[in-house]
Amino acid sequence: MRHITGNTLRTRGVTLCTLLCTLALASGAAANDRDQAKRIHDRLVGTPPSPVLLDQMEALVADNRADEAADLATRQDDFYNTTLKNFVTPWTNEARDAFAPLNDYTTTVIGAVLDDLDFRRVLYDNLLYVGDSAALSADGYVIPAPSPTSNSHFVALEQENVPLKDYLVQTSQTSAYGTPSEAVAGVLTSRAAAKAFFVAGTNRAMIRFTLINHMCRDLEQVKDVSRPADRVRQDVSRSPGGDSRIYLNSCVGCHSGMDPLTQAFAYHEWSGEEGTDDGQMLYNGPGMTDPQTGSRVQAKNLINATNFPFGYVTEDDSWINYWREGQNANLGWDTSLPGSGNGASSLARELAHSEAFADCQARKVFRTVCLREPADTDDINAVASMSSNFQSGGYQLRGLFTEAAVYCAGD
Amino acid sequence: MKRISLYVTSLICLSLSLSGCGGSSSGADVQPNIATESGPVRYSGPVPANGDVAAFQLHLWSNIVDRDRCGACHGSGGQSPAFARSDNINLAYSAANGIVSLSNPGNSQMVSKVAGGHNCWLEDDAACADLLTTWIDNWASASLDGEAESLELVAPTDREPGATRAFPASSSLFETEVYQPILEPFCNECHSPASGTAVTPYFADGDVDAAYLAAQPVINLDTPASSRIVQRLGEDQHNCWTDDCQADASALAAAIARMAAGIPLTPPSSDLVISRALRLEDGIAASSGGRYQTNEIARYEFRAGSGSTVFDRSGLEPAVNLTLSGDTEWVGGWGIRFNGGKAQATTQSSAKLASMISASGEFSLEAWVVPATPAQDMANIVSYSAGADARNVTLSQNGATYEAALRHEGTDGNGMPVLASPADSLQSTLQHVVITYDVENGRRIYINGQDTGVVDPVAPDLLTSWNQNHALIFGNEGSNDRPWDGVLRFVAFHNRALTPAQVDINFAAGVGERFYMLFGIGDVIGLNDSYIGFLVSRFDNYGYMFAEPFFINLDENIITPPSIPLRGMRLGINGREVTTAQVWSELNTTIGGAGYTTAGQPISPLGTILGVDTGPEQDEFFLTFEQLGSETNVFVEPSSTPLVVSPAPERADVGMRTFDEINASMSVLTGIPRTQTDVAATFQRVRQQLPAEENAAGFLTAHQIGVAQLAIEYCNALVDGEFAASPTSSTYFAGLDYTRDANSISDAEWRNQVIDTLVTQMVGAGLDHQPLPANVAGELEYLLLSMTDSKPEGAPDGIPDGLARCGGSCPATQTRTAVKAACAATLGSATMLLQ
Repeated sequence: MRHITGNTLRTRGVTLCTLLCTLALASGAAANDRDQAKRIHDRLVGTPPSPVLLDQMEALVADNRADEAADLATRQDDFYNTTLKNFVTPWTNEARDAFAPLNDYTTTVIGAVLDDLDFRRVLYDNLLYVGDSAALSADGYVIPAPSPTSNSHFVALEQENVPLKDYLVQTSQTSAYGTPSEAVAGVLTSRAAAKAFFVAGTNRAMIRFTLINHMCRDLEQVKDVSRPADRVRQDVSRSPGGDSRIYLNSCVGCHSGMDPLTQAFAYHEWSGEEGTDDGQMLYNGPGMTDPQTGSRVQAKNLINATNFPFGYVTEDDSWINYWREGQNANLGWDTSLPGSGNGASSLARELAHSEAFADCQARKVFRTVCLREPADTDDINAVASMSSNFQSGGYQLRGLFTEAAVYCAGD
Repeated sequence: MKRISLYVTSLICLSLSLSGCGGSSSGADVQPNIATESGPVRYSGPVPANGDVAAFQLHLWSNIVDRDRCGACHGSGGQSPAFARSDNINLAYSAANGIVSLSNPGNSQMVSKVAGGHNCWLEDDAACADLLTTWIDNWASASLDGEAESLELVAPTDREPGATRAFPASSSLFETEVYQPILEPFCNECHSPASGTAVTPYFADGDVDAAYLAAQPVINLDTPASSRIVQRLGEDQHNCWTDDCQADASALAAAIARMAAGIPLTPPSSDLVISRALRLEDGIAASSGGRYQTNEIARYEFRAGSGSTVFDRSGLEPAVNLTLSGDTEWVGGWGIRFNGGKAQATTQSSAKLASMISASGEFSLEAWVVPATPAQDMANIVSYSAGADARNVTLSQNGATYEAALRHEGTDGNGMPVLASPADSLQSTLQHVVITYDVENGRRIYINGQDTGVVDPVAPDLLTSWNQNHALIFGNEGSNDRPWDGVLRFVAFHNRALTPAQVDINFAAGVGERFYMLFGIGDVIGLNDSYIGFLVSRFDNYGYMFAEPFFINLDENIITPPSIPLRGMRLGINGREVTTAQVWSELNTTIGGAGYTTAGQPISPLGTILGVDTGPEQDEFFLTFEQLGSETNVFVEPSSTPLVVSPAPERADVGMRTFDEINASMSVLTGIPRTQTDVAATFQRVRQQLPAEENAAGFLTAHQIGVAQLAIEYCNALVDGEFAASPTSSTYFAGLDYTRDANSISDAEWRNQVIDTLVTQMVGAGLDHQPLPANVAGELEYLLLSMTDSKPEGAPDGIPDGLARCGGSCPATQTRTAVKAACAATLGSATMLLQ
């Protein structure tokens, strides 16, 4: 219900816009300690600080302890409920829609930050963060239980503005959803990710969007036509529109690397229809047989097999990373890992243990906190330093946020 | 020489042996087409001595005996060989056997002689050769009675892999001739990692060595004009730097040629483990048999490769030949690309289709097609019609579906309604499409051997209404208003509905010209007559397909070659290893030994595409190995260049709060929880109207409207909540009495209780990056306390403009209204929005 309107204001001769438009910032002034403290809080929490907290943070900044001021900010509810939520939500759907509802992918990342986990685990471990049902119930919240077939638990957490900092608890996808442990690969097998990237298609979307979200590279940036093409599946036309040059100069550049990685998800599928919220992740465990493939491989892996009968036929979930050599060797793959394996978790570990993964987290955090891409040498060096500290400091994402907030607090 | 039934023939059959793969591999008897009699020659000699002679007579002799064909010279008493003699079919048979290869009709001497210009009775030597091949093929099918078509594998011409130009280690030539004059100045806006719109390959990288590495895969030193980087300019008009793309392409090709001129021709490195070389001409033509073609009444394979006539190769007279017009292009490996043009037959010859199909009451239309794009509608691929409004049958494209229009007693004269294949079943790649029709099942559409399952919406009926005055047309409509862009590689009409099994057979038989190519490796492994074979075809105008490699030894005395390790096999062309789409580079297997049979030993089921380099007549292929037998060579991957992070464009170091941040901030600044009913409802309504990006450059009026609406709702909740709880003493606004007349509250009280509170709470204190408090307070004072009467604009009403000032007593709600307004104006301003 609204009791004043723009019309009311206009009849009294003053428009709202007057004030809105004329309140220019006293820009150009140097940032004092209090300004720096406020910006640190603004960027990390998304809201202005309370006067008391601002006083505390100002004192810390004045005492050259800006990192502690930033750490204080990361203890606020909205660092989790607002900043981190909106940092992660675009990763959880193909449209990169930040307005999408809270989901298990997002809460798992938030929980991992909250608990200062090694952030790489988010990609490959049997992790899930959900609302603590006992605590929620005790505090009067009415929240449905987490379910592999519904997102309602997380939607309710968001609608009730439940402080995620206080109520998220770590569990596993196996215990919460009943997902076989061998099927789990961190957020990649969360319900939200499965719904977004396993629905219909060929599961290649899971690789593409994992590259975008966690390696900061779309396929165009990793395209390399020199990689072996022996795993390019049968459904890829070798002569699109009757022109094989397109395949040789474009298609194969992505598919040669992507298809052998996607194979890690050969047993995964989404049960729901595209464009609907219903459904759950499916997984063909040992002993299960897809009626169309006659093996554990989901039928979607063999669609359009007649496009090029001499293409690769997926027989299991073994994957291999051909991007360890060629131009993408510079993504900094972990030489202690074999570069091949079976199943989603080992693939996700391959990605998470790359330098590109760490660099990407630093770059994303920098952009979120500093509101820009690195724009000069100082920025580039700052991001490199953040990435280095992230790796040497146990891959704690919260540390990236505090470091970026201090760097971008203003002079 | 080894006559052999190969295991390797998924294109020819799906079994490991060719046995049973003939036209009758379905199990059905293969009955040859009956040629209509022509010319005056009538046979009156002895009866054929056996079935094979009878098959010869029926399928070949009857088609060539006439005096306007071979019978003119090779008839009775004529030139030797007298394979067209009419006095004794058995002697004619004997003569023909010396110049015919039933196992490989296309390789028959009779065919090659005519193809070479020897008295073709048509305008095109190739057309005569094609017809002879068809007739011999039909004879062979009948003679072999569906038994295996064997293939003679013979040792190819021995060729040494040729010399080529290899990229030197130093980038200096590249830098001088190509990079500095062209790539760096004209391509670095995209093809450099430093670009804001970086696109690989980075051949304009600021680091010339990195650019050199990136450029090598797209540069052809032997034929600069064939470089991909040149073709993109000249053929694709890809971001030319002048108005003349051809000139730009020529300039780049010339630059590459100058670079190439500085690089000597060198033979393949002696370090390579390498096979002998082959050209396409060394390939052994693979039989195109295996099709079910018993009831074919017209067939088009587009073999000619030039000219303006598409020949009906069914062998069934009269031939329904088509004439090309408009924008069409012959495609290598047999096919025609339609770019708005068409191929059209005469109505007279086309009548063969109408008469034979209306008589049988059923038919099949079979085609191998490559639609240029799924984004074309009302595009006729194959049409037997008389314009946009009258047809017997049409196969057309409508977006990503095929459509079959058919005239019969239950449909209209335009073949409506159509039967459409499922959504997205049409793809812009090579597809085998078959429409079948019979009175039991109506129309069916098969794609790539599979029944799509779509059901004819019309009850089937007779085809007696087919019009004999329609014309067969490919790629368009007679009225030229249904153009289809794409490639046709095969079309056939059958006057029977193919069964699902027959469709599958024809799909499995594949399309186009195919060869077996045998790369000699005997000198490497120390075992003469040893070869790695491939099934090879011209895949399209731009590429070759190599598939299903196998190992074979042609020495009939070698039953089991010794076990030999084979690892890392790569294709090479014209003296250099190919850098793209290698599919056997990861191979690690053993050839020979226990897995070997005299029919050959499969190495891999995979295939790949190799780009045409200098042309199908000149291209020379070879294989390299990382290990073959005891010979090894380490393949060195190109080194990768370090990642370079380039600065992004400068942007303000402040930005806007985004939607949830705005909501949370307003909640913090007013103390109203986000879950308050009215606030939550308003936020849900305006949420997606609020800024989603921090970049202030993207700020829109709609954003501000959303911010204002939410601010008003928060302030409304704040003031109404306080009024309801304690109307005479506000907690937030320092004891303000909401029940007092706004006009009776002094300026000082408004300043102390409302304005200063808003500035303190919402703007903050001691912040150099926020507006000066006095400035904000001044704006709020004007909003609330102004005694000026200038509003409404142009029509002052005698009432002071300040919201807290009235002409006399204010309405009872005015105090709350004024507070809400001041609150909303502050809360929804840049002091909150910017961070």
